[in-house]
Amino acid sequence: MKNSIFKDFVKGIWQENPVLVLLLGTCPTLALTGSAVNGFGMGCATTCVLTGSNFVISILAPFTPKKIRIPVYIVVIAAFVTVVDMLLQAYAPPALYDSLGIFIPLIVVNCIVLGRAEAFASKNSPLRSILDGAGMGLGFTLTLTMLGVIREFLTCGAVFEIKLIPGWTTDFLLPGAAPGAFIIVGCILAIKNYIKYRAAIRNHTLYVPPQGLNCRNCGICRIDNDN
Amino acid sequence: MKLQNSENMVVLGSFLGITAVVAASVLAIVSMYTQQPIRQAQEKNRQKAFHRLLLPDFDTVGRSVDAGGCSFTPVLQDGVICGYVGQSSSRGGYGGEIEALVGFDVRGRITAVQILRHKETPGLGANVCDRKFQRTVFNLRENAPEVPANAFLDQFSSRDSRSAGRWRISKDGGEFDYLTGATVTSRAVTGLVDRISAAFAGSGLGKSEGDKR
Repeated sequence: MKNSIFKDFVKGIWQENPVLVLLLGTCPTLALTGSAVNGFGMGCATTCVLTGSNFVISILAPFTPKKIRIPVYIVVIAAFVTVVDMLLQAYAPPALYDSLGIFIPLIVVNCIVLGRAEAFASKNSPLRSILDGAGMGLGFTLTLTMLGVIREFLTCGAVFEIKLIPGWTTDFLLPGAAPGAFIIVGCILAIKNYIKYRAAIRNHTLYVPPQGLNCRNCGICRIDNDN
Repeated sequence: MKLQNSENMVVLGSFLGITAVVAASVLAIVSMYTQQPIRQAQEKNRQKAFHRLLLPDFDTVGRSVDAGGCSFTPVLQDGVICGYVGQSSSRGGYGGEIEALVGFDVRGRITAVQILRHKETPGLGANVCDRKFQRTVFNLRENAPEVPANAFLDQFSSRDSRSAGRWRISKDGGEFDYLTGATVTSRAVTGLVDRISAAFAGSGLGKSEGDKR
Protein backbone atom coordinates (compact mmCIF):
# COMPACT_ATOMS: atom_id res chain seq x y z
CA MET A 1 0.00 0.00 0.00
CA LYS A 2 2.75 2.40 0.99
CA ASN A 3 4.58 1.54 -2.14
CA SER A 4 1.61 2.36 -4.35
CA ILE A 5 1.09 5.73 -2.65
CA PHE A 6 4.71 6.59 -3.31
CA LYS A 7 4.21 5.52 -6.91
CA ASP A 8 1.24 7.88 -7.27
CA PHE A 9 3.57 10.73 -6.48
CA VAL A 10 6.60 9.68 -8.46
CA LYS A 11 4.94 8.57 -11.69
CA GLY A 12 4.23 12.17 -12.73
CA ILE A 13 7.89 13.04 -12.76
CA TRP A 14 9.10 10.64 -15.40
CA GLN A 15 6.91 7.60 -16.14
CA GLU A 16 3.77 9.61 -16.89
CA ASN A 17 5.32 13.06 -17.19
CA PRO A 18 2.44 15.30 -18.31
CA VAL A 19 4.43 17.18 -20.93
CA LEU A 20 6.80 14.57 -22.28
CA VAL A 21 4.65 11.44 -22.07
CA LEU A 22 1.02 12.51 -21.88
CA LEU A 23 1.73 15.50 -24.15
CA LEU A 24 -0.82 17.57 -22.28
CA GLY A 25 -0.65 21.28 -21.54
CA THR A 26 1.33 22.08 -24.64
CA CYS A 27 0.08 25.69 -24.73
CA PRO A 28 1.81 26.88 -21.56
CA THR A 29 4.74 24.63 -22.40
CA LEU A 30 5.38 26.46 -25.65
CA ALA A 31 4.25 29.92 -24.63
CA LEU A 32 5.85 30.32 -21.22
CA THR A 33 9.22 28.65 -21.32
CA GLY A 34 11.11 31.49 -23.00
CA SER A 35 12.95 31.99 -19.74
CA ALA A 36 13.62 29.67 -16.84
CA VAL A 37 11.93 31.97 -14.32
CA ASN A 38 8.69 32.05 -16.31
CA GLY A 39 8.65 28.28 -16.74
CA PHE A 40 9.22 27.77 -13.04
CA GLY A 41 6.53 30.27 -12.06
CA MET A 42 3.94 28.75 -14.38
CA GLY A 43 4.81 25.27 -13.13
CA CYS A 44 4.32 26.31 -9.51
CA ALA A 45 0.98 27.99 -10.21
CA THR A 46 -0.25 24.91 -12.08
CA THR A 47 0.94 22.62 -9.28
CA CYS A 48 -1.09 24.57 -6.71
CA VAL A 49 -4.22 24.40 -8.86
CA LEU A 50 -3.69 20.73 -9.71
CA THR A 51 -3.20 19.63 -6.10
CA GLY A 52 -6.14 21.66 -4.81
CA SER A 53 -8.57 20.70 -7.55
CA ASN A 54 -7.58 17.02 -7.37
CA PHE A 55 -8.30 17.04 -3.63
CA VAL A 56 -11.70 18.73 -3.88
CA ILE A 57 -12.77 16.69 -6.88
CA SER A 58 -11.84 13.39 -5.23
CA ILE A 59 -14.15 14.37 -2.36
CA LEU A 60 -16.97 15.53 -4.64
CA ALA A 61 -16.74 12.69 -7.14
CA PRO A 62 -18.76 10.07 -5.19
CA PHE A 63 -21.86 12.32 -5.13
CA THR A 64 -21.47 14.13 -8.43
CA PRO A 65 -24.08 13.07 -10.99
CA LYS A 66 -22.22 11.62 -13.94
CA LYS A 67 -24.07 13.73 -16.46
CA ILE A 68 -22.78 17.01 -15.11
CA ARG A 69 -19.44 15.95 -13.73
CA ILE A 70 -17.36 17.90 -16.27
CA PRO A 71 -19.08 21.25 -15.59
CA VAL A 72 -18.74 20.64 -11.85
CA TYR A 73 -15.03 19.89 -12.22
CA ILE A 74 -14.53 22.99 -14.35
CA VAL A 75 -16.23 25.15 -11.72
CA VAL A 76 -13.91 23.74 -9.04
CA ILE A 77 -10.83 24.21 -11.21
CA ALA A 78 -11.84 27.74 -12.23
CA ALA A 79 -12.35 28.68 -8.58
CA PHE A 80 -8.86 27.44 -7.71
CA VAL A 81 -7.31 29.27 -10.64
CA THR A 82 -9.00 32.52 -9.67
CA VAL A 83 -7.78 32.13 -6.09
CA VAL A 84 -4.21 31.54 -7.29
CA ASP A 85 -4.52 34.52 -9.63
CA MET A 86 -5.61 36.82 -6.82
CA LEU A 87 -2.91 35.55 -4.48
CA LEU A 88 -0.24 36.04 -7.15
CA GLN A 89 -1.46 39.56 -7.82
CA ALA A 90 -1.28 40.38 -4.14
CA TYR A 91 1.95 38.71 -3.10
CA ALA A 92 4.11 37.64 -6.09
CA PRO A 93 6.95 39.85 -7.32
CA PRO A 94 5.48 42.27 -9.90
CA ALA A 95 7.86 41.20 -12.66
CA LEU A 96 6.67 37.59 -12.37
CA TYR A 97 3.01 38.56 -12.42
CA ASP A 98 3.59 40.81 -15.44
CA SER A 99 4.98 37.99 -17.53
CA LEU A 100 2.64 35.24 -16.30
CA GLY A 101 -0.47 37.35 -15.81
CA ILE A 102 -2.36 36.66 -19.00
CA PHE A 103 -1.60 32.94 -18.88
CA ILE A 104 -2.82 32.28 -15.34
CA PRO A 105 -6.55 32.30 -16.25
CA LEU A 106 -5.71 29.82 -19.00
CA ILE A 107 -4.74 27.19 -16.43
CA VAL A 108 -8.49 26.52 -16.28
CA VAL A 109 -8.39 25.00 -19.73
CA ASN A 110 -5.03 23.32 -19.26
CA CYS A 111 -5.68 19.72 -20.22
CA ILE A 112 -3.49 18.39 -17.43
CA VAL A 113 -5.80 19.73 -14.74
CA LEU A 114 -9.07 18.44 -16.18
CA GLY A 115 -7.32 15.30 -17.39
CA ARG A 116 -6.09 14.39 -13.91
CA ALA A 117 -9.46 15.26 -12.39
CA GLU A 118 -11.27 12.93 -14.76
CA ALA A 119 -8.70 10.17 -15.09
CA PHE A 120 -7.46 9.98 -11.52
CA ALA A 121 -9.08 12.14 -8.87
CA SER A 122 -12.64 11.08 -9.66
CA LYS A 123 -11.73 7.42 -9.11
CA ASN A 124 -9.32 7.55 -6.18
CA SER A 125 -9.13 8.58 -2.54
CA PRO A 126 -8.35 12.19 -1.55
CA LEU A 127 -4.88 11.31 -0.26
CA ARG A 128 -3.87 9.53 -3.44
CA SER A 129 -5.37 12.34 -5.51
CA ILE A 130 -3.34 14.98 -3.69
CA LEU A 131 -0.17 12.98 -4.23
CA ASP A 132 -1.04 12.46 -7.89
CA GLY A 133 -1.68 16.20 -8.33
CA ALA A 134 1.52 17.18 -6.56
CA GLY A 135 3.55 14.62 -8.52
CA MET A 136 2.10 15.65 -11.85
CA GLY A 137 2.61 19.29 -10.94
CA LEU A 138 6.20 18.63 -9.98
CA GLY A 139 6.80 16.82 -13.25
CA PHE A 140 5.24 19.72 -15.11
CA THR A 141 7.32 22.28 -13.19
CA LEU A 142 10.56 20.37 -13.71
CA THR A 143 9.91 19.97 -17.43
CA LEU A 144 8.95 23.62 -17.89
CA THR A 145 11.98 24.81 -15.92
CA MET A 146 14.27 22.53 -17.91
CA LEU A 147 12.80 23.81 -21.18
CA GLY A 148 13.13 27.37 -19.92
CA VAL A 149 16.79 26.86 -19.03
CA ILE A 150 17.55 25.32 -22.43
CA ARG A 151 15.69 28.00 -24.38
CA GLU A 152 17.05 30.90 -22.37
CA PHE A 153 20.59 29.59 -22.72
CA LEU A 154 20.30 29.06 -26.47
CA THR A 155 18.77 32.53 -26.89
CA CYS A 156 21.24 34.66 -25.00
CA GLY A 157 23.65 32.47 -23.10
CA ALA A 158 21.93 33.12 -19.79
CA VAL A 159 20.31 30.90 -17.18
CA PHE A 160 17.84 32.32 -14.65
CA GLU A 161 18.72 35.75 -16.06
CA ILE A 162 22.39 35.39 -15.19
CA LYS A 163 24.59 35.58 -18.25
CA LEU A 164 27.01 32.66 -18.31
CA ILE A 165 28.75 33.81 -21.48
CA PRO A 166 29.32 37.57 -21.10
CA GLY A 167 30.45 37.98 -24.70
CA TRP A 168 27.08 36.83 -26.05
CA THR A 169 25.54 40.20 -26.85
CA THR A 170 23.26 39.58 -29.82
CA ASP A 171 20.28 37.37 -29.05
CA PHE A 172 19.62 34.31 -31.16
CA LEU A 173 15.87 34.59 -31.52
CA LEU A 174 14.77 31.19 -32.79
CA PRO A 175 14.84 29.21 -29.51
CA GLY A 176 13.07 32.02 -27.70
CA ALA A 177 10.16 32.09 -30.14
CA ALA A 178 7.34 29.55 -30.47
CA PRO A 179 8.83 27.67 -33.48
CA GLY A 180 12.04 27.12 -31.54
CA ALA A 181 10.01 25.77 -28.64
CA PHE A 182 8.39 23.21 -30.97
CA ILE A 183 11.79 22.13 -32.27
CA ILE A 184 13.29 21.80 -28.79
CA VAL A 185 10.30 19.93 -27.37
CA GLY A 186 10.49 17.62 -30.40
CA CYS A 187 14.17 16.93 -29.79
CA ILE A 188 13.54 16.18 -26.13
CA LEU A 189 10.69 13.83 -27.04
CA ALA A 190 12.93 12.04 -29.51
CA ILE A 191 15.67 11.62 -26.92
CA LYS A 192 13.19 10.39 -24.31
CA ASN A 193 11.65 7.89 -26.71
CA TYR A 194 15.09 6.67 -27.70
CA ILE A 195 16.02 6.07 -24.06
CA LYS A 196 12.79 4.14 -23.44
CA TYR A 197 13.22 2.20 -26.66
CA ARG A 198 16.78 1.17 -25.73
CA ALA A 199 15.63 0.17 -22.26
CA ALA A 200 12.90 -1.99 -23.78
CA ILE A 201 15.39 -3.71 -26.07
CA ARG A 202 17.70 -4.36 -23.15
CA ASN A 203 14.84 -6.05 -21.31
CA HIS A 204 13.91 -8.00 -24.45
CA THR A 205 10.42 -6.47 -24.52
CA LEU A 206 8.53 -4.33 -26.95
CA TYR A 207 8.22 -0.65 -26.11
CA VAL A 208 4.57 0.06 -25.31
CA PRO A 209 3.37 3.44 -24.12
CA PRO A 210 1.51 3.39 -20.77
CA GLN A 211 -1.91 1.76 -21.18
CA GLY A 212 -4.01 4.63 -19.91
CA LEU A 213 -2.54 6.94 -22.53
CA ASN A 214 -3.66 4.83 -25.41
CA CYS A 215 -6.80 6.35 -26.90
CA ARG A 216 -8.51 3.02 -26.97
CA ASN A 217 -8.12 2.52 -23.21
CA CYS A 218 -8.57 6.07 -22.07
CA GLY A 219 -11.97 7.05 -20.70
CA ILE A 220 -11.58 10.81 -20.60
CA CYS A 221 -13.76 11.75 -23.52
CA ARG A 222 -16.09 8.77 -23.48
CA ILE A 223 -19.00 10.53 -21.85
CA ASP A 224 -21.88 8.64 -23.43
CA ASN A 225 -20.58 5.10 -23.10
CA ASP A 226 -20.14 5.52 -19.36
CA ASN A 227 -23.82 5.69 -18.64
CA MET B 1 -25.27 6.11 -5.52
CA LYS B 2 -28.68 7.32 -6.55
CA LEU B 3 -27.45 10.86 -6.98
CA GLN B 4 -24.63 9.69 -9.15
CA ASN B 5 -26.89 8.20 -11.79
CA SER B 6 -29.58 10.82 -11.58
CA GLU B 7 -31.01 12.10 -14.85
CA ASN B 8 -33.55 14.42 -13.28
CA MET B 9 -33.09 17.90 -14.71
CA VAL B 10 -33.97 19.56 -11.40
CA VAL B 11 -31.48 17.48 -9.43
CA LEU B 12 -28.72 18.08 -11.96
CA GLY B 13 -29.47 21.79 -12.14
CA SER B 14 -29.55 22.27 -8.40
CA PHE B 15 -26.35 20.27 -7.90
CA LEU B 16 -24.53 22.44 -10.41
CA GLY B 17 -26.13 25.52 -8.90
CA ILE B 18 -25.00 24.63 -5.40
CA THR B 19 -21.47 23.92 -6.62
CA ALA B 20 -21.37 27.30 -8.34
CA VAL B 21 -22.70 29.11 -5.27
CA VAL B 22 -20.15 27.45 -3.00
CA ALA B 23 -17.33 28.25 -5.43
CA ALA B 24 -18.53 31.84 -5.75
CA SER B 25 -18.64 32.31 -1.98
CA VAL B 26 -15.12 30.94 -1.62
CA LEU B 27 -13.98 33.39 -4.29
CA ALA B 28 -15.80 36.24 -2.57
CA ILE B 29 -14.04 35.49 0.71
CA VAL B 30 -10.61 35.22 -0.90
CA SER B 31 -11.28 38.40 -2.87
CA MET B 32 -12.26 40.19 0.33
CA TYR B 33 -8.97 39.26 1.93
CA THR B 34 -6.73 39.96 -1.06
CA GLN B 35 -8.34 43.19 -2.27
CA GLN B 36 -6.32 45.35 0.09
CA PRO B 37 -2.93 43.69 -0.62
CA ILE B 38 -3.61 43.81 -4.37
CA ARG B 39 -4.34 47.52 -4.25
CA GLN B 40 -1.28 48.10 -2.09
CA ALA B 41 0.90 46.11 -4.48
CA GLN B 42 -0.38 48.10 -7.47
CA GLU B 43 0.13 51.40 -5.68
CA LYS B 44 3.62 50.33 -4.65
CA ASN B 45 4.45 49.44 -8.26
CA ARG B 46 3.30 52.84 -9.45
CA GLN B 47 5.32 54.60 -6.77
CA LYS B 48 8.33 52.48 -7.61
CA ALA B 49 7.99 53.35 -11.29
CA PHE B 50 7.76 57.04 -10.34
CA HIS B 51 10.97 56.74 -8.36
CA ARG B 52 12.71 55.28 -11.37
CA LEU B 53 12.06 58.41 -13.41
CA LEU B 54 15.04 60.27 -11.85
CA LEU B 55 12.73 63.05 -10.68
CA PRO B 56 13.95 65.35 -7.91
CA ASP B 57 13.25 63.98 -4.43
CA PHE B 58 9.54 63.95 -3.63
CA ASP B 59 7.44 62.77 -0.72
CA THR B 60 3.85 62.90 -1.99
CA VAL B 61 2.09 62.16 -5.25
CA GLY B 62 -0.58 64.65 -6.24
CA ARG B 63 -3.83 64.17 -8.09
CA SER B 64 -3.48 63.62 -11.81
CA VAL B 65 -4.93 65.90 -14.46
CA ASP B 66 -5.72 65.03 -18.06
CA ALA B 67 -4.35 67.07 -20.92
CA GLY B 68 -4.17 66.26 -24.61
CA GLY B 69 -5.07 62.62 -24.16
CA CYS B 70 -2.37 62.02 -21.55
CA SER B 71 -2.56 62.10 -17.79
CA PHE B 72 -0.12 64.16 -15.75
CA THR B 73 0.56 63.53 -12.08
CA PRO B 74 2.42 66.16 -10.06
CA VAL B 75 4.90 65.03 -7.42
CA LEU B 76 5.46 67.27 -4.42
CA GLN B 77 8.21 67.84 -1.89
CA ASP B 78 7.09 69.71 1.24
CA GLY B 79 3.93 70.78 -0.57
CA VAL B 80 5.77 72.32 -3.52
CA ILE B 81 5.45 70.73 -6.93
CA CYS B 82 8.86 69.55 -8.06
CA GLY B 83 8.00 67.53 -11.13
CA TYR B 84 5.35 65.83 -13.23
CA VAL B 85 4.84 62.32 -14.51
CA GLY B 86 3.14 62.02 -17.88
CA GLN B 87 1.44 58.75 -18.73
CA SER B 88 -0.13 57.53 -21.94
CA SER B 89 -0.27 54.51 -24.20
CA SER B 90 0.10 53.86 -27.89
CA ARG B 91 -1.27 51.12 -30.10
CA GLY B 92 1.54 51.52 -32.60
CA GLY B 93 3.70 48.75 -31.16
CA TYR B 94 4.55 45.55 -32.97
CA GLY B 95 2.83 43.39 -30.37
CA GLY B 96 0.04 45.62 -29.11
CA GLU B 97 -0.22 48.43 -26.66
CA ILE B 98 2.79 50.21 -25.22
CA GLU B 99 2.34 52.25 -22.06
CA ALA B 100 4.97 54.81 -21.11
CA LEU B 101 5.77 57.06 -18.17
CA VAL B 102 7.71 60.24 -18.86
CA GLY B 103 9.14 62.30 -16.01
CA PHE B 104 9.38 66.08 -16.34
CA ASP B 105 11.05 68.54 -14.02
CA VAL B 106 9.37 71.89 -13.33
CA ARG B 107 11.18 73.55 -16.22
CA GLY B 108 9.69 71.06 -18.63
CA ARG B 109 12.79 69.00 -19.24
CA ILE B 110 12.45 65.23 -19.52
CA THR B 111 14.17 63.45 -16.65
CA ALA B 112 13.72 59.89 -17.87
CA VAL B 113 11.42 57.63 -19.85
CA GLN B 114 10.14 54.27 -18.60
CA ILE B 115 7.98 51.79 -20.44
CA LEU B 116 5.38 50.45 -18.02
CA ARG B 117 3.83 47.77 -20.16
CA HIS B 118 4.53 46.29 -23.57
CA LYS B 119 4.23 43.03 -25.48
CA GLU B 120 7.07 43.48 -27.97
CA THR B 121 9.13 40.59 -29.31
CA PRO B 122 11.70 39.42 -26.77
CA GLY B 123 15.20 40.14 -28.04
CA LEU B 124 14.09 42.72 -30.62
CA GLY B 125 11.35 45.20 -29.71
CA ALA B 126 11.68 44.41 -26.03
CA ASN B 127 15.23 45.79 -26.11
CA VAL B 128 13.78 49.18 -26.99
CA CYS B 129 11.44 49.12 -24.01
CA ASP B 130 13.21 47.29 -21.19
CA ARG B 131 15.66 48.82 -18.81
CA LYS B 132 17.37 45.73 -17.56
CA PHE B 133 20.60 45.29 -15.70
CA GLN B 134 22.40 42.33 -17.23
CA ARG B 135 23.70 40.00 -14.57
CA THR B 136 26.69 37.97 -15.65
CA VAL B 137 28.88 35.53 -13.79
CA PHE B 138 31.29 38.40 -13.13
CA ASN B 139 28.96 40.91 -11.47
CA LEU B 140 26.82 38.52 -9.45
CA ARG B 141 27.30 40.38 -6.20
CA GLU B 142 27.05 43.90 -7.55
CA ASN B 143 23.93 45.90 -6.80
CA ALA B 144 21.83 46.68 -9.82
CA PRO B 145 21.51 50.41 -10.54
CA GLU B 146 18.05 51.76 -9.82
CA VAL B 147 17.66 52.96 -13.39
CA PRO B 148 19.60 50.64 -15.70
CA ALA B 149 20.72 52.29 -18.92
CA ASN B 150 18.86 51.82 -22.18
CA ALA B 151 20.62 53.42 -25.14
CA PHE B 152 17.38 54.14 -26.93
CA LEU B 153 15.29 55.51 -24.07
CA ASP B 154 18.20 57.56 -22.70
CA GLN B 155 18.18 59.64 -25.90
CA PHE B 156 15.13 61.46 -24.55
CA SER B 157 16.69 62.38 -21.23
CA SER B 158 17.13 66.12 -20.50
CA ARG B 159 15.40 67.19 -23.70
CA ASP B 160 13.08 70.17 -23.47
CA SER B 161 9.42 69.22 -23.84
CA ARG B 162 8.84 72.47 -25.77
CA SER B 163 10.91 71.13 -28.66
CA ALA B 164 8.54 68.14 -28.97
CA GLY B 165 6.00 67.81 -31.74
CA ARG B 166 8.20 66.47 -34.49
CA TRP B 167 10.44 63.94 -32.78
CA ARG B 168 11.14 61.12 -35.17
CA ILE B 169 13.59 58.30 -35.60
CA SER B 170 16.41 58.88 -38.06
CA LYS B 171 14.82 56.52 -40.59
CA ASP B 172 11.88 58.94 -40.83
CA GLY B 173 14.16 61.97 -41.07
CA GLY B 174 14.36 62.68 -37.33
CA GLU B 175 17.26 62.87 -34.92
CA PHE B 176 16.71 59.76 -32.80
CA ASP B 177 18.71 56.62 -33.46
CA TYR B 178 16.61 53.48 -33.67
CA LEU B 179 17.39 49.85 -33.00
CA THR B 180 18.00 47.73 -36.08
CA GLY B 181 15.32 45.08 -36.34
CA ALA B 182 12.99 47.01 -34.07
CA THR B 183 12.03 49.93 -36.27
CA VAL B 184 8.31 49.65 -35.57
CA THR B 185 8.78 49.62 -31.80
CA SER B 186 11.33 52.47 -31.93
CA ARG B 187 8.91 54.50 -34.04
CA ALA B 188 6.00 53.79 -31.70
CA VAL B 189 7.94 54.71 -28.56
CA THR B 190 9.33 57.89 -30.14
CA GLY B 191 5.84 58.90 -31.24
CA LEU B 192 4.43 58.18 -27.81
CA VAL B 193 7.10 60.16 -25.93
CA ASP B 194 6.70 62.95 -28.47
CA ARG B 195 2.95 63.04 -27.91
CA ILE B 196 3.25 63.08 -24.12
CA SER B 197 5.93 65.79 -24.22
CA ALA B 198 3.98 67.94 -26.65
CA ALA B 199 0.87 67.58 -24.51
CA PHE B 200 2.90 68.56 -21.46
CA ALA B 201 4.32 71.64 -23.17
CA GLY B 202 0.87 72.54 -24.47
CA SER B 203 -0.81 72.17 -21.11
CA GLY B 204 1.37 74.86 -19.53
CA LEU B 205 1.83 72.73 -16.43
CA GLY B 206 5.57 73.13 -16.22
CA LYS B 207 5.62 76.80 -17.16
CA SER B 208 3.28 78.05 -14.43
CA GLU B 209 5.66 76.82 -11.80
CA GLY B 210 8.62 78.46 -13.56
CA ASP B 211 6.80 81.80 -13.84
CA LYS B 212 6.25 81.99 -10.12
CA ARG B 213 9.92 82.19 -9.41
